[in-house]
Amino acid sequence: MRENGAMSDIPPLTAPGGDTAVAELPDEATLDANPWVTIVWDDPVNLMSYVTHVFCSYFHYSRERAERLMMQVHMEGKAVVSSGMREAMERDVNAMQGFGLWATVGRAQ
Amino acid sequence: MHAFRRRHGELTCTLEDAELTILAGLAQQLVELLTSEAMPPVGSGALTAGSGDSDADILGELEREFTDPVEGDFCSDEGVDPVLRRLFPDAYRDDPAAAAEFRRFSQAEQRDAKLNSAVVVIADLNQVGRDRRCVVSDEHVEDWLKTLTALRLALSVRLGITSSVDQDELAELPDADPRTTVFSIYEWLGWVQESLLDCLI
Repeated sequence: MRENGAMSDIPPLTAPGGDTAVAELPDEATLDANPWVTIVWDDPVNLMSYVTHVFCSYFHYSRERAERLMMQVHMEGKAVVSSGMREAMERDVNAMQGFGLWATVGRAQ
Repeated sequence: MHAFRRRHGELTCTLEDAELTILAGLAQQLVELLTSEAMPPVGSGALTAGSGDSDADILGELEREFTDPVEGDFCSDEGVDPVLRRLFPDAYRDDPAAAAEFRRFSQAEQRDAKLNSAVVVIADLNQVGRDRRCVVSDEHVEDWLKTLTALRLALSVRLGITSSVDQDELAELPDADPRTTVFSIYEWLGWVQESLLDCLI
């Protein structure tokens, strides 16, 4: 992800593109029941503020959670951004790719 | 250029003639790439989205299903523009068959969405008059953010950017290097996007 200036406070912009209710449950609690995940990978092009914006606007995550996930992508190279049934994860990956993020469907570890 | 700012409920910036030409030109190139032969027929995403129901569409879709290689070598096919491979990456990292299947039912729709966004941006740019003010409505902001992202991804492929180190090296190139101009456009697009994001606070 491309370093940029101080991260700004970005509220959700639009109605959610995906109806991923499962994604709003706590991560740990859902992993066992949901064997699939959406992974976003670090890339050198997308701006940190944009990635945070995408997590806020699509998943309706709080700004704090979106920033935490964005930083995890940036520092660790990837982050699980949602988990659930395979079809739901494919919808999320489809949406992430629509935003230009590098996302894949994977098995929960 | 003056950065985007919110005025009277609208997002506006001012673009110099050269900036307007560059941005509109890049968006137009994106449209041409998205409608090139490597991509599914325009509008075919409507059916996979579940909204198309005419017999002709269904027949067309069936024909594509039988004629398109399910193995989906899109991301390894040397004939496919690497920019397209970057815009439509494999959705499964270690499962080529699943990646091909995902692409088969999602790519046309994804392409149509990217195309629509680029067309929205071009239409907004076409409205720029003598005062050089470019107005972006709230309904168009996501189209702008997505298109600016697609253009940066496209330029990053052309520039060979695969890491932040690559970008730092490009920033150090002498002015005479042909990549310097392209890189400055890439950086400028990021600045435009950042200024747009700043307005959404």
